[in-house]
Amino acid sequence: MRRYLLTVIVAVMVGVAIPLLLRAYWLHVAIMALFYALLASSWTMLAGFAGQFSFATMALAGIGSYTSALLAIKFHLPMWLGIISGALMAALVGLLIAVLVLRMSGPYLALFTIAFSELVRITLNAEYQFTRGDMGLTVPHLYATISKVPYYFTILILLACSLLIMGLLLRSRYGLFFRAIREHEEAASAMGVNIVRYKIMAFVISSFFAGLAGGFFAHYVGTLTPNSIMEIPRMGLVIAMSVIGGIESLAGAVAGAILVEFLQEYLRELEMWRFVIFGLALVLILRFSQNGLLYPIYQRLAAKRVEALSESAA
Amino acid sequence: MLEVTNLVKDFGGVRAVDKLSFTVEENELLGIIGPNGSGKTTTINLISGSLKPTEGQIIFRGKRIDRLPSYEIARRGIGRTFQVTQVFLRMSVMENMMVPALSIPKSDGGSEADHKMRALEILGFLKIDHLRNEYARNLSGGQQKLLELGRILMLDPDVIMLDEPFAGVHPELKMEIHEYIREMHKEGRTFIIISHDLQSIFGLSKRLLVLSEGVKICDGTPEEIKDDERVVEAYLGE
Repeated sequence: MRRYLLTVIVAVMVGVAIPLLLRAYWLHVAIMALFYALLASSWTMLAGFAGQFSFATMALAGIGSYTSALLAIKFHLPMWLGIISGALMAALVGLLIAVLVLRMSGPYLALFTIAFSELVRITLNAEYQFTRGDMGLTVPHLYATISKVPYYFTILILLACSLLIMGLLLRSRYGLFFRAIREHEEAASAMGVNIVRYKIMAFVISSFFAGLAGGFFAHYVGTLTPNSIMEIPRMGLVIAMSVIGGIESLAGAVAGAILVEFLQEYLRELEMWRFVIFGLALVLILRFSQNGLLYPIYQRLAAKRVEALSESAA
Repeated sequence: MLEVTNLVKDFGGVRAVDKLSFTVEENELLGIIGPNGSGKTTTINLISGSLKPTEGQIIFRGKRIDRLPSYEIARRGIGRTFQVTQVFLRMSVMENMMVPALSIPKSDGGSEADHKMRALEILGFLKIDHLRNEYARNLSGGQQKLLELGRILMLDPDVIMLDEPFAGVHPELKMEIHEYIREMHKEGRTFIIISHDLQSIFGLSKRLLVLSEGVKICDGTPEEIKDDERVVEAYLGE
């Protein structure tokens, strides 16, 4: 507990100090890293814990961003209300996907969610009279300032709250059921776990946080196109972040997102070579540390947690 | 306690179970035997709700259960193991034990601390309590079988269905499993056991059901079954 508290205090201190240490450009990179961290952790909850390998996270973020943007533009809804509405809309769509994919797993689920994502992206592109398609929707900014600091703290708080909620959920009986479903659905069901309920729950909650990230993104960047948020390669990036950080850990997803986002920007000076180096780094990590760079550390902490669980029972 | 009536299961054009009827009484230890493909595992899958029957009905304690989802059947008191052991590999032994305990709605179960105590008791009974912090994937095949059995006990079921509990198990461990089954049976639990290990199943069961090509060909005591020509023919014809 003491160590946990210490980690939280250090994380808060680092988080608060970042805007003082970084120039505007790198602060933007930090904001995007935290945006991706929220997406990667929501995907980790769904895929890493509940075993539902979905490719729809970015599409759901897109639904959150467009809902929030359009509510602000067309109906002049307060932006925070719009962001929450966007997250709820994403959760609703997540519910629909969950019901449709209940009997799907593995490649079928992946293909379904890819098709769904493309369907959403192309529809938003095609409906340009409403969404302005590739021309881009001009979205009001969350704050009337050119400073990035308020945006940084906003996404930091959003991420912290989201991680707290997801973390509590995953440490509860629901997290245990998610993992049992991931391991073997039939066996989980034979152990009394209502797999339909918990698969839907995982999809809806994960979609809510993806939508929340999307809503923030819309009001941060100020210009929204379907391709700017919903392209399949972006989904690949989110998955890479989670996998590199460790697919069974929210903290791993956050660390993976920050590492990959900063690495991408740092290597930008190398132009085309950065993709080669970045790709090579990915290949090496996936080859030699399939559970991510942070997995060995996570495993040690998890073993201690399990030990504590058993000791408290003894 | 459990009544199976005219149970039919078709997979496309293949009839895996054909008008199967039998009953299981309270605290009975029923063995189901038969050659490969005779419909033994399908029968367990139908009773546990993993599969839905094409025709027929299953009644447990006076209520139809054949249209219920398997989690509901488990909660009503029918636990099962799988032909290929299905423990949750990337979860610890203790976490495996907690899944069935916590899946029961709160109003019906005890506190989490009670469940943990009970899990330790069961692991102790099965002599694998020293492995409680291990990931299930690190356990041997035999230990995984014991964990699967222990996990069922956390449901506190009235009926335990074991699918090939002796397959691939060391002879010493096999004897241990025999003892566990006998002890649990003495405590009042009802067992349905499928096994190709005829020595074990004849030694344990008081009554045997023999299936061949989805049809019940014989139902009786081990002595009656041994002398039945249809059984000999079914096995020799395999």
